[in-house]
Amino acid sequence: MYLLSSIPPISIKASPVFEIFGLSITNSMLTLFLVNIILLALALFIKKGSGLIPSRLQVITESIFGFFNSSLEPAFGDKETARKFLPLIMTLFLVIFFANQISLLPILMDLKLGSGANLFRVPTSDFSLTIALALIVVVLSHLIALRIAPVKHVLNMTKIGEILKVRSVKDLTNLFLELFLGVLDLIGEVAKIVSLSARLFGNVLAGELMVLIITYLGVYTAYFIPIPFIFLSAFSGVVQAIIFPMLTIQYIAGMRASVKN
Amino acid sequence: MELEAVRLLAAAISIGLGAIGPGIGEGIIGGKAMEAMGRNPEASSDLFSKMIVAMAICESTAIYSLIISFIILFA
Repeated sequence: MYLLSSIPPISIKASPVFEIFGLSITNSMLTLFLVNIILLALALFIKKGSGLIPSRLQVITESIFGFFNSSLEPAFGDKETARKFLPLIMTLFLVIFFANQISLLPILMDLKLGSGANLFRVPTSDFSLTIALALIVVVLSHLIALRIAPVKHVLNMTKIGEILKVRSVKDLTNLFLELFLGVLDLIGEVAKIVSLSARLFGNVLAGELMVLIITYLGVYTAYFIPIPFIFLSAFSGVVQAIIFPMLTIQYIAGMRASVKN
Repeated sequence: MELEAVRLLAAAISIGLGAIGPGIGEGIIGGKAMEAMGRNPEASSDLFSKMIVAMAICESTAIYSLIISFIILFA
């Protein structure tokens, strides 16, 4: 095409940068490492400058803590269990938030390898990361329920206990209905994983591709036109970083409530 | 038809049909939120942030069809 003539190759898979002990490190892994370093530096910086009179960054951090605490408490009931889950929720929020916004750093995102692919790539635009996060969250919710009451959770999920309650032929239709609903429940768990990962991945990838295509569309659209799309991408990154932990809270609290007596 | 033409057509149809539902749904969410804000202007900021969260979850199915469209185009 005459437009988009010099666009770099777009790939949904992340391209490997180097190999170490047989594992290939991709460019999104490298960027995730960079996000980790930034988070660590930020944490140490806020800790050092904190005190009884809060600095500005401390105020922001405490307000984020307060926001997630106030959404944890109605879901879990009492304050102690809510406090136990706060580290997981805050970690999810911080990692996804900084990973989504790392594309705003000016020079890093344009470094290229010899093969034409980028050296750094937004981590959450790699499907592997979002599937990994979603798997962690859903498997964790099941493990928490299994730890509280294993037999009851398995019976809840597969509804095999209804077989023992059959007394007459009329109960048989009820049994088939319950088994069918049990299968739907199991499919629902897979749907949870797919929807959680696809939502985050799709939003971030769509933002990236939109900015890339508009930048390379022609020589006149490369300069001021991408700005609203970069705003849109940043805003949707923030919203997705809030939605992922909140859905995590709902899944874990739902599993816990279904096995608690 | 050639594969390349069908590929472009499939990507366009996927996102085109997939964006109809969430468009209507988000409009309904926004309308209800505006109505509630009109009844109770003090809860405006609270309602606004919850509306944004509800819209982002409603957007999900459009994002799924967008992912399918990207996979068809680029992979």
